[in-house]
Amino acid sequence: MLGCLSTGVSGLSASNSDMSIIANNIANVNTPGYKARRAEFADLLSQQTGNMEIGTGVAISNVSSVSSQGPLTATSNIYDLAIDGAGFFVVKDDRGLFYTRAGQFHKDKEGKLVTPKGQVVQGWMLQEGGGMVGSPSDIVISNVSIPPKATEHVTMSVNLDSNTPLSAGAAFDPQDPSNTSSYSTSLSFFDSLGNRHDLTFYFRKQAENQWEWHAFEGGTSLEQSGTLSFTAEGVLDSTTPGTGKVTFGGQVINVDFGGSTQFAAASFTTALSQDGYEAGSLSRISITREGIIQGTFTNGYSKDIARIALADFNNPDGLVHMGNNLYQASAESGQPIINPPGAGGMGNIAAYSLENSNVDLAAEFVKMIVTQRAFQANARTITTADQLLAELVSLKR
Amino acid sequence: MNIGMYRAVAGCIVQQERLDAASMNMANSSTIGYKAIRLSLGFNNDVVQVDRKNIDFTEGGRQDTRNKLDLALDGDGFFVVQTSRGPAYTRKGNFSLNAQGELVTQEGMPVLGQNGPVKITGHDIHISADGTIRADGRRVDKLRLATFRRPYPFDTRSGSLFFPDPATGAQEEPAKGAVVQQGQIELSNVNLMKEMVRLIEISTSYESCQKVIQTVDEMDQKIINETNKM
Repeated sequence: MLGCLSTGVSGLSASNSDMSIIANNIANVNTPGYKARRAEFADLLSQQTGNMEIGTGVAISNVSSVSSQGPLTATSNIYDLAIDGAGFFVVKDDRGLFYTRAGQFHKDKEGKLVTPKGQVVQGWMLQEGGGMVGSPSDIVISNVSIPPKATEHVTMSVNLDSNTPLSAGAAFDPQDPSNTSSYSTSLSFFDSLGNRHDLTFYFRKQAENQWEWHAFEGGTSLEQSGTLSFTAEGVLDSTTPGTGKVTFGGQVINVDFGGSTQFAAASFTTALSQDGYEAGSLSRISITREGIIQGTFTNGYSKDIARIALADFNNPDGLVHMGNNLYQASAESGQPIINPPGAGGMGNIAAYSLENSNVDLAAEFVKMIVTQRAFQANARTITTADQLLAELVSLKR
Repeated sequence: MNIGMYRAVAGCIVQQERLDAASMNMANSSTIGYKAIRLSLGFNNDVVQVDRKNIDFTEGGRQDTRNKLDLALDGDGFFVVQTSRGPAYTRKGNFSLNAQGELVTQEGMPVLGQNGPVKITGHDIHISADGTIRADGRRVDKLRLATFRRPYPFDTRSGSLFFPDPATGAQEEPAKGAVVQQGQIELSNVNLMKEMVRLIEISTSYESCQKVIQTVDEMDQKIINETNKM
């Protein structure tokens, strides 16, 4: 008789705990990265053995997380990151490492990528060359710049008009280059400090199928020259010196005239390139699906700055909830398995996005109704047991 | 003393046992894979008693969850889990993984495959209708799905985790008819409405037995008191 009273009470308390879990789910319907939780009920085994024994009620054996993907919503913050697939962001503070799927990050005053509570997001700072070295460390996005690079190679392809008449006697005059040559082309190059200079080449027809060039920096002659010889078909045959070379101060620039032609068409430039650049400061950040934080610099170049690390667990349900959307590893969850996004089964990163809570309001409301009814039913078994007891007691007046 | 009183007391005891079963069922109306307990009543020397306690193995309803480790079984069969008291059989398929990557119940008992506990490494877990488990496209194991000849030889100590009664000597057979549904759970098969009606029935039956006891008691008193006056 008293057994069924405690069975009813176990039902009441399990329904009550279930209701608090449902309430918590509903309260977190707008919390980014929140995973709905679920009470797992288990019936209580009778402690006595024998064929005629029945169980003694119900208990909540575990509260598990429903680890399905939450919907991604777009935001206007580049550092709002969502994981599309498995894995957790790794964040660190004085207390140690934590794991989260709520990617509401921002840059703090030191340029560190942090959570709203100031935990630093972990990843790999990418060295020159893009390798991931060692274990993950704090991601810092500050003092990132590209140093200038002096021009070492210039490639230049021109077509020099084969119908140009031979220059009548007059030699090339460095004081008056434009009137003593028939074609010129110029490009910018950079010295070791990143200063921009103009390099101009003047071409003058020396003989049939043979042209000479003179190099100028700005308006000043570098007093360096060479020749281009063409075959009868108009294709570049040979150059002197063998590899074109221009020196400017101490800087040596190799000039490659490969691809130049001498056809019967007005002179034109087909290709120009050089490999130097000026200093660049960070102008824009982008984050790829693979979690690589790339910087675009004022000089037009881009560079990989860091790569975000993700962690996964054999049993993510075993992670300990720490509040503030954070989880901590436990003996039950197993050791974190750290990988970059998109590798080793990890999900991809979506920038300008947040993973919404995966709470399904409709499902929670239905659960709420069922739980309320279960609570009432259990209360009723208790009142019935009470009635029976009252009858029993009233037997003896 | 009047035999009627003993019969009425037996009736009260039976109603108490029915209340125990009803309260157990109602407490477990939200327990996944729970099977309701039913009592069958009979007579022994014209006195009512509980002949047998049975488990009602009717299938419960289905609910879609989005959990890839939630499994429901369609048809005759059970998942086999390892317990300290040997293999146990269950239809409660809300499994999870433990720190070692083993498939376990919410109580931490390992779920058995073809060669002992199922161990899954990989992320994209797919479990087909016959219980074959694939992780990232690779075959990992196959769930051990078992059944017994009817009536099932299980004792009634639990309505969701079943132990075969060793006295019956029944042997497990492969469950050929069982179909695994991934992402679903089997709800408790307790029907709250029926249980509520049962509660009313228990209450009135108990009251009736009580009245019989009182009446017999009054009759006895009358006999004692009035014989005394003579």
